[in-house]
Amino acid sequence: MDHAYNGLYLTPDMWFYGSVVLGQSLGRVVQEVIHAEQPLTHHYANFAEVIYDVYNACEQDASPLCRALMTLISLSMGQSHLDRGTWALSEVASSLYYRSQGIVETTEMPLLIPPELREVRIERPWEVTPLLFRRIIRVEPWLSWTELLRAEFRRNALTMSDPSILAVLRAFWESLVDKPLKRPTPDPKIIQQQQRADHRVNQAARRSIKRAVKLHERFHDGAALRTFINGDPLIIGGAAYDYCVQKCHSLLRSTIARDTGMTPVSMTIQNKQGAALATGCLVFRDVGVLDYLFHVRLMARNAVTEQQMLRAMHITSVTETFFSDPLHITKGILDRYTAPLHTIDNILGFCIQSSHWEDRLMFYDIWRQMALKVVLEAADLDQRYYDEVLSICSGRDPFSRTAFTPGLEIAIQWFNMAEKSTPVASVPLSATA
Amino acid sequence: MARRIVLPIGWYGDITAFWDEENDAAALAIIGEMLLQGYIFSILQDGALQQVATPQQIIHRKVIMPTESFNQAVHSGLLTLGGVQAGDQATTGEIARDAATVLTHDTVATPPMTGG
Repeated sequence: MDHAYNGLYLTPDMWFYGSVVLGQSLGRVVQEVIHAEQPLTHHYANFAEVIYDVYNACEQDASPLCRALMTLISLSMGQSHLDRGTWALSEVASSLYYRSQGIVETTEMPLLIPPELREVRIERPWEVTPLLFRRIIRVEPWLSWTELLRAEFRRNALTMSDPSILAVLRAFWESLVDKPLKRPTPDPKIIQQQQRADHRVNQAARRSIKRAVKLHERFHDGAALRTFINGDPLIIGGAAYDYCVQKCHSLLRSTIARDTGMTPVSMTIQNKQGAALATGCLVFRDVGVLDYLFHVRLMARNAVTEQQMLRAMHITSVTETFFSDPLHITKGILDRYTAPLHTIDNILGFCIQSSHWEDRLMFYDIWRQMALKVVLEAADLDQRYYDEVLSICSGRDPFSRTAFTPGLEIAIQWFNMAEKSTPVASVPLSATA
Repeated sequence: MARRIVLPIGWYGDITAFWDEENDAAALAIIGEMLLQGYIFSILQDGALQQVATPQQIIHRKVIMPTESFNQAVHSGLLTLGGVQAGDQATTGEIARDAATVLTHDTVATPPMTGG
């Protein structure tokens, strides 16, 4: 387990100092350092002086604004902290299950099993219950994590119960929404230098686009390329599948940003009858968007390279037809060794409509939802706290994961039913690994 | 002249690498290295390539080579850079599975791919 982030835990006070007060007070000091050729001793001294002043001022200042800001910032941090913690809890359950089944973990995910839980065995997925999660969060490092989270949430709830603080918090939030923070005007010389650099890059990119168009026209259909450049969807006929591609950004931007690690086009994989199966994400090393298209057309033409391309591609969403097509075997969804967790998560997060597959694949996410529920229950929080959080955040649900569809309640019912009677999933997950 | 490889590289456009038959051994090593890196070589139909630019024109583009050994081979003269090609070109639909096949065919190289 990652002990590091427990060690680096920042209290709401620390977040408050860091993101609000220090951000404003240190502006002058930071500007000095940025424009200096090298940070010198007096820069550090100025920095330390500001920290000292801010710390002393906040120690004596118990104003509603100070407390309200602390609450607001810690809320945003609490959400990500909660998310990471519940993710880790569900990973422990997964690791325990794999170990019980004798499955060797070959994905990038590490085995997260503390010594106190080494003897625990999970023979069936539905044996992962809230009781098991409660047992897990009572051992280190989750105990300390849960305690910290509880303390933070209780503190927030206490602050939220004060109407005067809530009023200040609402006013502050509205002021942020209505009046964006002013940014200092950059130096005109720096702007001019940046504009010249941008111009050179744009010129090189335009030349690159012309060359790529010529290359494409020599090998492939030029009319199809123009369809793509115009922003219309282009169907690329492959050996086994068709690929509907459409540009996501401007041609210039996609040509300049070559190594973003993200696909420069939106790509939908279709079967030969035209039914959409999945959307995919594929990147080639150091190519612009038109060269990207050139290579996709080249790879799709050959059955062997098409399979290579499909295996390399990440599936980001699927339709129900996906599961009746051999593509799901190519992507190794059935196989724990070849289906990385993020692929499964992606599929769960988007559109699974088949109840059969839902039964098989929903374990992973349900465990996470259950862990979240257990932690929040343990925190024993006031319902008003959640209501206020939701209203302050102007519709942005900081605990959106609890509103998971098909819903946490369904998942809990599903597990309760599985505990009491015949398991719903007739095929154990072990059969798929 | 022996065979050629068309290399669409970065935003420098495509270049074509040539080599003489006596440099086959050097080319074989470079191609083997590229195959290990994940490059895929699609075989072109015979007689499709026609050179219309001189190597000097290409070198002035400051082309970045796919591998360091490729770069060294160009500078030592084992590989020659040809220019932009003219006329329609077509692949046979086959790929070269080993370096020896690349040596005996005109090919177009696709860089390594992965999921994003």
